[in-house]
Amino acid sequence: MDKYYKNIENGYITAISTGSGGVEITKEEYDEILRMIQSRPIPDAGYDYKLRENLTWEQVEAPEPVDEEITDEEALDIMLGVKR
Amino acid sequence: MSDINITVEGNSSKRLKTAGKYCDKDIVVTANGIDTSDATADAGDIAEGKTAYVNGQKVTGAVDVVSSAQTQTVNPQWNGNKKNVQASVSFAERTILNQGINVTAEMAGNKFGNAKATDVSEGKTFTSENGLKLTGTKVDPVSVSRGTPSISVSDDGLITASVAQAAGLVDAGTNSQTKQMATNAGGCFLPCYSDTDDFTLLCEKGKYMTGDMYVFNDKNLIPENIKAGVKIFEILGTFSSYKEITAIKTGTVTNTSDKTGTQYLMHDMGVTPNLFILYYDGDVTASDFSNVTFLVAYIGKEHKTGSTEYLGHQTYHYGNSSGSFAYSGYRVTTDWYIDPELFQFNVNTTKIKAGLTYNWIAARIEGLE
Repeated sequence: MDKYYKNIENGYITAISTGSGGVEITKEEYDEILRMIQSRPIPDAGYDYKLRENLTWEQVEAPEPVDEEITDEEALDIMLGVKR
Repeated sequence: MSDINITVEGNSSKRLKTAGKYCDKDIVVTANGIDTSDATADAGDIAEGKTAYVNGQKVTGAVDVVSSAQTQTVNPQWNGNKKNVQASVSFAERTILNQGINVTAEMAGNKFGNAKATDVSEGKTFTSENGLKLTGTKVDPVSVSRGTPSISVSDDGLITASVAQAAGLVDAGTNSQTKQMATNAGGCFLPCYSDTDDFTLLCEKGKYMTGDMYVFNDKNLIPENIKAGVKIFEILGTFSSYKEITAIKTGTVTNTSDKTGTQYLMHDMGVTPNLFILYYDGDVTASDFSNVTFLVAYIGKEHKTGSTEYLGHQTYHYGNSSGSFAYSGYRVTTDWYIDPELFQFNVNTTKIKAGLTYNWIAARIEGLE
């Protein structure tokens, strides 16, 4: 039996997953979020869309991608959910 | 006058000696017989049964008289000086042969050999048990040359030397022949690889080995060193490089944003993986996938106190985005003690395209180096 999860960060759903993840949800909720993701609006240049917990999209400025090696402290913050 | 005894001996007349002087003249007695007084024969000189008077005595002969044909077996001897055959016929010391008696000396024919006419060259004469001065009929062979043998070697290695000799007289002597066989000097050879031929020819048949031939041995050619199920030189391998997967878990992850910088957290996976693979079975571009960052965080328990603490993390970039199958993988290289319930495997999703569902596999493989 698959288990379904959603990851929530600062009121936004960042991802959904199966097998492992953040908060366990039902398959129905998973499917509903997945349908929302698949109908995600195309953001304008320099912008991105974030999915609120109430399953509505919010256009935000897109952050620059980070490729650098992170430090132990940054990694710990990530795991502990500390917003930097 | 007394009687006068006159004895006449022999057959000759003799004058009587005067025995008295009764007569003034010699009395001459003239005998009518033969005077045998001077005969010398005795019985051994007179034929048996015959008589004679010798010296006034009647003598009966004792000499054998041969009156019938005689046959004696004689032993012929070759007289080299005279070049003739001699044989002696003998009789008793005194023997009388009647006139006309045939004396036959019989010689065994085999004393002269056993040649037949077919044994003696044509026109030549000979004497043997088969006859006297027979003429040979044997045709002498003509002189021919000695044959020279030829040598052949069969597929089974049998060497045969043969010569076709014409009929006739052959002079004494030797004719020889040699044959140089193809040779192989031997050596020591290694088995070799071929994907087309089952065998490699080391030495062609029909060659004479002038040296020993070996095949190298290798102590490493044992089942434990050969992949399981693979047979090399009839040795079935038992070695397996496969590692035992003691735990495996799969799942999916779908991002809601392209470049949020958010870290996706997976924890309580139920396994402590040392291999993590993220892949997308569909069309993506290199920029969508090639630089996925895996952030592996280790949160373990301190054994004595049981307190939970952060142990460290590793990041890894690896990916392949060619074609329609994209993947990125990570192998945990630490030997830290990690509580499966506390292990977190975090994926930096900044390079994972929003809206696409990616598959992930987390596995624990024992013995993975």
